[in-house]
Amino acid sequence: MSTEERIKRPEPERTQPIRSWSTLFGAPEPGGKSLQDVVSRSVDLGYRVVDEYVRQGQRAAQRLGERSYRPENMVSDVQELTARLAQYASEFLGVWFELLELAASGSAARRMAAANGAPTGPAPPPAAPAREPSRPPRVRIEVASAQPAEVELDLRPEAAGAALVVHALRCADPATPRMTDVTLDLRSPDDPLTLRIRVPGDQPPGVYTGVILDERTSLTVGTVSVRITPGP
Amino acid sequence: MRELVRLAEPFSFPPTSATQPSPGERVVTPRRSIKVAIIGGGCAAVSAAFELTRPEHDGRYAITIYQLGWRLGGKGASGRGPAHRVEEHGLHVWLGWYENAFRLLRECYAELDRDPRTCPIATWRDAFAPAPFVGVTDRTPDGRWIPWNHLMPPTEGFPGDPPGAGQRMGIRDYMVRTVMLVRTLLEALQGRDADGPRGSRGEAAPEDAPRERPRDVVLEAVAGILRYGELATLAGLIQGVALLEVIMGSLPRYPENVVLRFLDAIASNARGLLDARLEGDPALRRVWHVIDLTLATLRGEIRFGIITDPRGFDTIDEYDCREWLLLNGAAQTSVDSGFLRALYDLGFSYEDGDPARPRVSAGQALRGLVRAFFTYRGSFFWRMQAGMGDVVFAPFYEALRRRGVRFEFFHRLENVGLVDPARLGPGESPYVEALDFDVQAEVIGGRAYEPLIDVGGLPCWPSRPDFRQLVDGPRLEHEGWEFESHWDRRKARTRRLRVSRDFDLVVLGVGLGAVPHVCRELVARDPRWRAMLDHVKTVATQAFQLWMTTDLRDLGWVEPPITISGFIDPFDTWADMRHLVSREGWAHAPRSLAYFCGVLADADGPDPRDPGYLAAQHDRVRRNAIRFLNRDIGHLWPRAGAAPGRFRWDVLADPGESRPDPGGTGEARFASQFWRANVNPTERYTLSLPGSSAYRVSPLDRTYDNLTVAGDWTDCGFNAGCVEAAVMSGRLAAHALSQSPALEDIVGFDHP
Amino acid sequence: MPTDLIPALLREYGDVTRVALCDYLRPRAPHRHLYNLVADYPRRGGRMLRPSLCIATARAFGAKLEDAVRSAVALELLHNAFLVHDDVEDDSDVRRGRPTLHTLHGVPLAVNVGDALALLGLRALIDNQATLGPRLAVHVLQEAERMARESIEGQAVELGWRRDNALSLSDADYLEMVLKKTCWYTTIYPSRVGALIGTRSDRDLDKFIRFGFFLGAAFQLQDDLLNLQGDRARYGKELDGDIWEGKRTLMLISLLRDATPAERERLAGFLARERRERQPAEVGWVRERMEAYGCLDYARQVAHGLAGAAAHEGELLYSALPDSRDKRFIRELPTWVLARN
Repeated sequence: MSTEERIKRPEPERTQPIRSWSTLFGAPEPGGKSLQDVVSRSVDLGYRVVDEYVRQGQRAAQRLGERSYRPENMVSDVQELTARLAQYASEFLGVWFELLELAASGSAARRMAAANGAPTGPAPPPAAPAREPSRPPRVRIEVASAQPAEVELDLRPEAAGAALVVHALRCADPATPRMTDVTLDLRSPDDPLTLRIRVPGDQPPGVYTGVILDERTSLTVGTVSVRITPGP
Repeated sequence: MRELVRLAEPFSFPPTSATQPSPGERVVTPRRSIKVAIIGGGCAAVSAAFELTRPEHDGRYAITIYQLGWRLGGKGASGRGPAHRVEEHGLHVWLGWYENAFRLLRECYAELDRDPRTCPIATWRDAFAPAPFVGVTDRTPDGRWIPWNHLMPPTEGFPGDPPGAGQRMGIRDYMVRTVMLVRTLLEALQGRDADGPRGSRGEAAPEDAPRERPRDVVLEAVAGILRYGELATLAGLIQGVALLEVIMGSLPRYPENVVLRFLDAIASNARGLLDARLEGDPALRRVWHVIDLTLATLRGEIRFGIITDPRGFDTIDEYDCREWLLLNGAAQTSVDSGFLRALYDLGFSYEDGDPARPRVSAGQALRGLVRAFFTYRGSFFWRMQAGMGDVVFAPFYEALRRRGVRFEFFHRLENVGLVDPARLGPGESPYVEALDFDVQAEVIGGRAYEPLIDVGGLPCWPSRPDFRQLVDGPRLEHEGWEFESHWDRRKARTRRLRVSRDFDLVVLGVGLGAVPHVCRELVARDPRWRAMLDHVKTVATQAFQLWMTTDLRDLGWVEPPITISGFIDPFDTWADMRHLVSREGWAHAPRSLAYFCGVLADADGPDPRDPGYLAAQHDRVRRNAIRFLNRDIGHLWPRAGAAPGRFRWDVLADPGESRPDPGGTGEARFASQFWRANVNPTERYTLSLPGSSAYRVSPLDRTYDNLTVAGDWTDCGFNAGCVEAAVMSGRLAAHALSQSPALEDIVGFDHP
Repeated sequence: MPTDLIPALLREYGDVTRVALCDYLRPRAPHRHLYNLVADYPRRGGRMLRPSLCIATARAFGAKLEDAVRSAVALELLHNAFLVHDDVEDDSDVRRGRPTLHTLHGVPLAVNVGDALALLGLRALIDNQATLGPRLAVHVLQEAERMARESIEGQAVELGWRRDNALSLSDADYLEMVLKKTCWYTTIYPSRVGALIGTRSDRDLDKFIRFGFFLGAAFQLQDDLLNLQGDRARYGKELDGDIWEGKRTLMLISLLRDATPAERERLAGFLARERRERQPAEVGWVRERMEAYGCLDYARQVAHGLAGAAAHEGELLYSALPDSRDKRFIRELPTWVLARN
């Protein structure tokens, strides 16, 4: 007798037909009170809609046939898929050439700027809303690290004057511990923003990134990334 | 920019061998394919096999079908006899709502892709033809039988098509359709009401019931109608019914007592209006019966809360259909009408085969009625263009062979052997350990038995086995071995199959009647199986077929070919099958062909264990048929009698093959026809007795972890004896073993 | 009873996604300012519900966070692409508390930016190959293709209603449209892809359609309710904006159904006009009629029902999984989608 395990049927997800949806969430009140009625009817309707949808999808899938993923199929499938996805986003080559053109000539941007009443100039970055003029904030960076560290800071102009917070910096590798000793301080509106980073001596080398958020609105206003390279 | 443009270039993944997983991928492959033993070759078993061998399973299931005797089909098996005439168990007609059955059949034909130049039945449309002409017979007070024939209107699409928008109906939709039916019938009456009161003609036709109307407006209209007696005219009645349609569409919004009162008012007014004229007008009487029955149905659906009860129609499973209708106010005459009787007849719904004991579950009957009338596609009935074996089981046999299914004919199951409970590990389910078969005959050379014969290019099953392929064939033939008879136990040898060595999983697709005999251990150890046998019953049936040299017109039937029921016991159903003659191989083609069938009461005469029992029952049927032809057929075929009480025996067509008395006269000529007593346990028809549904075992039940059941006797969603239930059950069995097809894909399984 | 688990997990997974997102939005020479444009909407923040659901589902099924991040990023990018296009189509003024992209830069540019966002999302999915293996990456791509197709079809349906001034829609019509337009990319795709990544198998993903549908529909209904009743400062879009746009919400559909013929005619006229021709007084009247007929209550009740169904389906789907924060997160979602504001 073989030592292989005897083959068994799988466990069924259910063993009974579903004969009605409308009382799935409790019996309706006698006389059909309106609240329970609406709720149960909406559930009933919801199930009908989604079941019909699933059924049609299965029909369509069957008509198109199941695809099995053998290597020779994969290449053309991926190509086909990406082409279709790109198509959904419209003629992408056209998009990019158009954008390029605009960028090069800056004409559209200038037109927009003129329409918004801002002074025209050579291709201004149309990122800021036409409200308060803002300069990129001044930032002071203090780094304390035994190992060589490169800091890259990307901060948008609207960060100026806002209360900012930075979360712990993470590395792509999950096993690597985060760098938590990172703070952003603004003592007063006139002082520069101070970014303080302290790198523990045993922090493994790698690239650590984190977002900078406007504390009030939770909007992302910048990123900071620190690259630690092994010491000499 | 450059990175994005790169997307436009074709790129490829590194070539990967199909069996080598890429880094990070986990691939599970079974070490060997799973051996499935399917016992039985009827609709359910064949459907299970068809599902399990679909291409998407990639050959995972290695199927062997074990079949007693020489042909597949179970209760649906047919053979070819003398003159290659089709010889069936009885009448098999498919209904236009058999979505699962048609779907599988169409897929089978598509797969076979037969050449129409060489095969007369190459596509499913060749195999099935619409048969919209149906009828019921009514008994008049003076003892005559009058057929009431109706052409059921064709509908869009074909059964087995992908489900359309109107396919998934809830109880509320059915009720709306029911009311619409009442309105149609009343409008038909209005149309022929030439001399009715002014109000019934010349008025604008009632508008189609608006789909949504504010509730208060509707209630006000109802109150007005009730108050001012506006239902007293036919036109008013129709308007009232139109309003009823609106109410049905959103029933929970209306107080139950108001709706019931309105229904009652409609019913009594209808009866009052029509009563005066019912006596002299049988057509009107029939319409009234149907209206009465449908109003009673509506009343019952509301009173018994079927709309909201999660059990759907099962809520009233315990009631007999007639009893339930009476409870809800239907008149006795309506309940006794041909319409309802035909319903019982088509389902052979007579306990123990006794015509005096009609019983069928009200819930199951209603479910069948709404499916049959409101969800049929194409045609109400679909007729096979050759024997059911030729049209259904031969194609499936060929398709399954091509897919690699193995067939073991002449294997009769004797016992399903369960593992000794003492040997089960903790938490281990009981399972099937062994299957014992009688090998009735061996095939010469150990080859596979080739079961089909060619009739005019069509692969068919013969009425008798091909003894030439069997070891000791001539002797077996000479000794008259009857492989399909329960009482002929002769065999060549026995064979035991063991779990894991010979099979992994089992599909038990035998008829219910066989279960007490072959599942003794299950029945002994499992109280649920015992209870099932106690409550879920079968009934024997009888049938005969006539080939005649004259046209039916000549016999007095002038209408188109029909399927009619509700007639005299025991052969209460007659189907005109003249279209089959061209498929047979007559030297002199008969001009008409008629099939008759009905229940056969269990005999309390000879001992069922007597080997001559089967022959005795066949003979009983022969005598029944002769008496019927002499005495009763005249009601439908007025010119079929040579004299009162004597049939025109000379019209019978004799295939002229080796019969001892080929040119017999009188009743003896009947010997050239075909008749049959379906008393073998596995041939008995499954009943839907009131309250029995709850005792059926489901294919999805996993008490035995390597066994599933398949058949129209199982708890399959449509618990009645019919092809569709068997196919659904087979698909469920396939799901039980492989989780495919999805339950949602089994049309009508999730259904009130 | 709502706990803090959902906000906490939304923050945590949101951060992870944002960080990874920035990778794709990082300005690259020589078109830095283009990327600034493209990065505008994503940088405006957001609840990050979709990527969080994707990651949480993947982890609940046993995957590592890193396996799911790129798919989550792709989703967020696509979401933003839809937002950009939505705002153009609806002619909205405000998004997340700030002027919409096309208000700032004109329609043609905004449309192109939306396209570019979608492409970047595609890029992120292609990059899945490295972490998930080619076979799984292709499955995810398939899911994304389906999700994109469904969303676009759903959007087309809704736009068709507005263009044709459809007046006799049913609740079923609405739910079908929401299923395609919103649920696929808000809840169905994240769940399916999460399960795909977690189980490395694409069997039985249809089970998630039900759950995703109910959850997403409840979510959308609540969104539509907030549009009429939310706290303006926190909501970030203009109040009654949907009425201004003539959007066929469940409230509007039920109003069209219950209104008197005279009211219906007036509504039809309102809906037939262009947005810029509509007057505040009319918008106010529509809003008041909705209150009068209880349309808001009705929609709220429907949302409750659907959330309940989502909870039920969630039980069926997830109960067998080992307990984890992620599993609890998913199970609390149906309640949360209704309670949020």
